[in-house]
Amino acid sequence: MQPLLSELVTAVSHVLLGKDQQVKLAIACLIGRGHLLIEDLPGMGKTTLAHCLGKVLGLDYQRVQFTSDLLPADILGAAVFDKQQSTFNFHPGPIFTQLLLADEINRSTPKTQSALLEAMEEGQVSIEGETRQLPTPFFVIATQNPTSQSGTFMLPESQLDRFLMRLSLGYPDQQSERLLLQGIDPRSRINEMQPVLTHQQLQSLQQQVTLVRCSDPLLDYLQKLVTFTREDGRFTYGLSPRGALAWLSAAKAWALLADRDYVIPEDIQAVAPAVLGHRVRGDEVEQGHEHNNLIDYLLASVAVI
Amino acid sequence: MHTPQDIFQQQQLIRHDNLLWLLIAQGVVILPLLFQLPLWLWLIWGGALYWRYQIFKGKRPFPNSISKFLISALAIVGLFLNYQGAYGVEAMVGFLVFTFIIKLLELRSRKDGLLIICIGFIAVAAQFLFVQSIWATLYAAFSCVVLITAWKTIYVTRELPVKQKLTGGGLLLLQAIPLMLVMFVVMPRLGPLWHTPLLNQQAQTGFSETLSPGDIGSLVQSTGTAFRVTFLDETTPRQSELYWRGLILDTFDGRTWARQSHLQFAGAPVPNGASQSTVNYEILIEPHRYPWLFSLAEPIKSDTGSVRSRITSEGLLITREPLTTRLQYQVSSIRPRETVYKALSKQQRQQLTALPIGFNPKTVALAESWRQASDSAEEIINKALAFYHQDFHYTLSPPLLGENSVDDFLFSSKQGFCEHFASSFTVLMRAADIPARVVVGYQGGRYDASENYWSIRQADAHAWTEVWLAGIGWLRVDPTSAVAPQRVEQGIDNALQADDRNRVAAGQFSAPQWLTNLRHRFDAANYLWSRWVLSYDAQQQSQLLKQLFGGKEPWRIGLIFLLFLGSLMGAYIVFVIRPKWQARTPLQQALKTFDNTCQQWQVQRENSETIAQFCLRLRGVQPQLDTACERLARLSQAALYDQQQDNQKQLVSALKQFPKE
Repeated sequence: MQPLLSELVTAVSHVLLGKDQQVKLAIACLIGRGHLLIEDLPGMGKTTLAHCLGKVLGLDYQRVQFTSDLLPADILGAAVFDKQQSTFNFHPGPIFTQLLLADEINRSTPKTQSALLEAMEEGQVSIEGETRQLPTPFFVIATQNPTSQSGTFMLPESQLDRFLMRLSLGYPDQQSERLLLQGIDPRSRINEMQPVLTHQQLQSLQQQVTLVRCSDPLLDYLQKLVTFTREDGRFTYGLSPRGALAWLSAAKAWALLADRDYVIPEDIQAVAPAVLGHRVRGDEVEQGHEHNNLIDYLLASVAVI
Repeated sequence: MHTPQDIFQQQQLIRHDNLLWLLIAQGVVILPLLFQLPLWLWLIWGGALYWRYQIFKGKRPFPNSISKFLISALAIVGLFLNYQGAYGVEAMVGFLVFTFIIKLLELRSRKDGLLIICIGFIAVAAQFLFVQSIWATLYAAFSCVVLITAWKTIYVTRELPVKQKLTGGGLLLLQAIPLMLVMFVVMPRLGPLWHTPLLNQQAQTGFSETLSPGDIGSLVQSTGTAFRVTFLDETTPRQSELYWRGLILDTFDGRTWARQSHLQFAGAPVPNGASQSTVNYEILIEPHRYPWLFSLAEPIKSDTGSVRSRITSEGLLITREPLTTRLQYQVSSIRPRETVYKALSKQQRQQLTALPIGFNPKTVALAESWRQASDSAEEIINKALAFYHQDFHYTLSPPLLGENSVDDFLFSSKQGFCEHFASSFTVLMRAADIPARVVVGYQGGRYDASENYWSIRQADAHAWTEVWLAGIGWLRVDPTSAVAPQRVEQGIDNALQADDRNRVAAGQFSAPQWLTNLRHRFDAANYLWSRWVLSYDAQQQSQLLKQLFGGKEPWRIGLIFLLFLGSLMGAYIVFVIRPKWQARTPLQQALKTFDNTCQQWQVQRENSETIAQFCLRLRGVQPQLDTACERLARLSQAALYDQQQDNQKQLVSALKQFPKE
């Protein structure tokens, strides 16, 4: 692993104990220029992870707590009338930042969730007929509670598709939990964290991800997988081309994390649950991460070579 | 605790879906047979269906042995009474159909269902005992599709749409067709192993051995084809020359012409050698249950295949047995003018001029007056034809005639059909002391240009006269042509008035044009079917086999058969298996070798495992392979994913030679 990247992972893992795999995936997601959705029960460390990432990446950072009465203007900003000068002045909302933490995104109504669509896909927002560029880089890290929880609105598929990965943290193991209980409050540790990356370093990492090579046998494998999701009866609908692109860039980032300049099938397989979990749906209504069964089935059915 | 499904599965009972399919298949199969069998079998079928339905509803039990025995005994008695104890094909088929129907009341398990299917196939074959047309064949094919579908249904537990099921059955049947064709061509054509009794109900069609006024008039009102003809030469005779001779009647009792079979002429006519323009043609005749075949005058050579026949001295083609099956035969005829006839003996001459004494006095007197006023027989003939030409009418519905039928016809009613003209003309000639005889047969026919054949229908039935002229021989004279020349030149439908025409061939000539065209296409299809399929007998087979393979010895046929099977397998290999081989790259082949090698350590590469992952796993199980595994893992990653093309060859050889290094 590149020293820089391993330093990143170590820094975050220092706060979020025993979740190396999720931390690595989250970092892969961000250097793959993707937005990240973290889904889990309350109190599992979602917000902590998001906080940590914001800190170590050295980015401007805003947080919006989504509630059921949150409106688009609360996020995007609005024009406010200035009495003295008799003009409307635009007051930018919290979205004008480099890293937006959308906490409990599925507690707001679909209308508000949709306000993020343009921003996430194109890095710009259109307010009152005017298109405004967002700062670069622009990341959204959203957390959500499982949809079975009360007071939640399911994210629409179009919104889900804009997240490169969806992660679930899960309960910590015994040892990590003991360390957590013995140690000091993670919150205070976050405040003490220093940025690991400079702006330029982050950009160069993102550039390196795009340079990771993919051989023909690898693309064959990826295409076989994608075709399988479209043709097999157990998938309600197949993976879109955008989904396939997302999968490949996640795999590239994963390869870079492993300090390789080419992708191998193991990369594809490693990021599959995170990338596909929110994109495919089986013919039985499967909730949450039971999707993994479907993804295991997919990986087991398609021959690597 | 067993669910109902389990019980059905365990005891292999017929499920409801199967039951419906079996009932449908049985109905489809026995339907054409029921039309040939006693009506009460329909009742039995309906009753059995109803009973089975009640069993299905749970309202009635399966019948016990005693009632089954009683029903069967009653049916056998019924069949016995129905056919008056005669055993024949129909009685046997009736018994088959009855047992088939009654099997419904035992239809309980999968085994019974299979039995129904098997009997169904026999019943399909049985319908060919009655009808062999192309439509019957198509129906039989359809029956087979339904049977196969029902058969499949017994084993299929999923719900499938009906169309999909039928398509599956049809595909299975289609797959059997190449084999069927080969069997059709090469299987030895054995004669019947035992004598098949005739069907009881089928009547004789066409002429009888006598001719009375009105006979042909009623014959032309019936539908149906008598025979079909293909001329084998490039030039075919004109329609007005097509007099198909069937039977010669030479004895008259004042009303009815009959045939005196013991009258023998001295030898068959022979060609005179002046010209050898023979007319060669092939006739496919429908079975009419009489011993005569049709030909143009004068036949000199005939080939009737396995049916024994001869050409009589009257120039007729006669078979030994009445014709009970469709027959295809070839005839060569020469024109009567080019024939040398032996002179009539005195006894023959007397026979051919004999008339019953005391009948038709006016006719005899008229002929006598002509004879005295004329010098030659030709002159008398011309006078007679001119007489007809005056004011006679050609009609299908002449008035009834009295005791002196010829007198009545010639001098009072003057309306008649061809038999009236032929009969009266012959009487006139005999009265004028010219030997004459009546010929019955068919005249003309309908030419089908698309398949190049003539179709001769019952409606083309005709009668005419032949007179003996000293020095010339037999001369055909058709008095009808003196009255209605269109009859001979254009066919019967153009020679009659509109209301008469409606009665010919049961009104087929008045049908709309499209219907007529359609009927002609059907006729052509049936003709081709009969000519190429039904008349394929042992003789044709040996000819064809000689033509195709140069002989018909068993070893040759066996070899051909094996070659055919071999070529089928070869085609399968070339078109189905080989593409799969070819699609495999060298790498895939090497992987296959590698996987085979690894089986000795009981380690199987998973679908989702890369070579590298597998090597790591293998190393865990077989530590002695450590270096080999590691090398292969590294090599595979470099070759496949690090895009170092020259490594690929190395990888292929490494995979093949594993675990050697």
